[in-house]
Amino acid sequence: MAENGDKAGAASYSDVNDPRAVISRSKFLTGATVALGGLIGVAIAVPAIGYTVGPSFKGEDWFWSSFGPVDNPDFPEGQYIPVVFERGKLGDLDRRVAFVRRDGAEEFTIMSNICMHLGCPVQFKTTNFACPCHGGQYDTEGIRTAGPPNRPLNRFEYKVENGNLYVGRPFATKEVDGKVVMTDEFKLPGIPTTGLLSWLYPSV
Amino acid sequence: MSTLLPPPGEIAKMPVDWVEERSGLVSVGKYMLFRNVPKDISWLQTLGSALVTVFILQATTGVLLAMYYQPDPDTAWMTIKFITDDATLGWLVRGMHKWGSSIMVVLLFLHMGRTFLFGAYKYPREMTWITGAIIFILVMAMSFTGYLLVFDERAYWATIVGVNINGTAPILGPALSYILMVGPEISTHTLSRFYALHMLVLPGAIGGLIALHLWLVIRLGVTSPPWSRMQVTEEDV
Repeated sequence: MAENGDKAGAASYSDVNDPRAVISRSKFLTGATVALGGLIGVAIAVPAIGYTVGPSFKGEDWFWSSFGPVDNPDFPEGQYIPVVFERGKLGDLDRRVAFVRRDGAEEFTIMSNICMHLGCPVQFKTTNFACPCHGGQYDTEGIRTAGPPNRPLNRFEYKVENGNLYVGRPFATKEVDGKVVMTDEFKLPGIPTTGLLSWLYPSV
Repeated sequence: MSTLLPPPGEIAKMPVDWVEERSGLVSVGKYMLFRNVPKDISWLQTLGSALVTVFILQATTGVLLAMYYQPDPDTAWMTIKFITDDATLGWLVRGMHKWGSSIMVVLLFLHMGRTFLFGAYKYPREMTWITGAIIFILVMAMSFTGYLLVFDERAYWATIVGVNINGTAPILGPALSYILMVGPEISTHTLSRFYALHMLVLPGAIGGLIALHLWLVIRLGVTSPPWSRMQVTEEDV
């Protein structure tokens, strides 16, 4: 209580008749009520905030989606083919589009269709990716050529198993000396992956 | 017998007196409605009342919409379609809620502009301005969360863009996006979360703040316009 600290050496007081040495009953009860109320408030607020925020950072449900045989002639070399697939268990909500380009017998570039400006879907137009929302443009490697995006398109991880092509999670990419390098984490659109500004966006 | 019964006018007043004697609410209402205001105020000072009216309209039509709406990705849009096409006068309820939301934002800007240009935010009315500014932010949040609930393509993609705009805030942006979407992408939880915010959290907060805002308006009175020629008397100070 504030009264205790009012005077230096207050702890040495022992005279109960001195009003500075004692806390009155009503002040004590007021303080106790406020403290108890605060404690109850914290006891409710902490679990409530955890309940609200916790699931947001748990990571998502996903699985390897099969894209069929790896030697499928429908995936010609050097050409982007759009594939619609589901990468979770939510049906419509987990439906995604990837642009698959064969680079070799078991080598692929699997481009996400999510624009890195604010997340609209991009389309592939023979020589470039284009976003209808705010005019973002990317070349065939997913590097921005015009418009507001601040990093190259995300790419999906993939693996070849028993002659089948499987596609997993999308990861952020960054441009290093004109080439696209895949990182090992997912980042939301609009968040830069290179330069000073990228330090302002901690990984979630 | 006729001597025992009070005149009809008195009988009609009885329930009012009953409430007044026990709560004093009738005097409170009279004080609010018949308080003095400057002589030279105009229609411009009625924008706040108009906003309260639109808020009540939005709350009422919102409750009506909630009677049929389901915040589930598989059925949300079907229930919206049911409200629009099949429910009796559903098109009217939904239309009022939709247009009411736009009107509320427009009125809010006008009300805020009037207050700013008249200098009505100055001492001792700073708290009225601050509570109004918080209401403004919450109304923006209402518009944002309400937009997703229709759950058509436009709602979905507009919400993605909106969430990603939030995500570009430095330091806390990405976490804010994750909290809004309940994870890195829009999921079933996003819709329920936006619904809970839109129909419980935000309207509750706005209602409480409107009460505080109104209390301040009644306590401090209304300002004259800056071009007022009214004399300030001893009584006013």
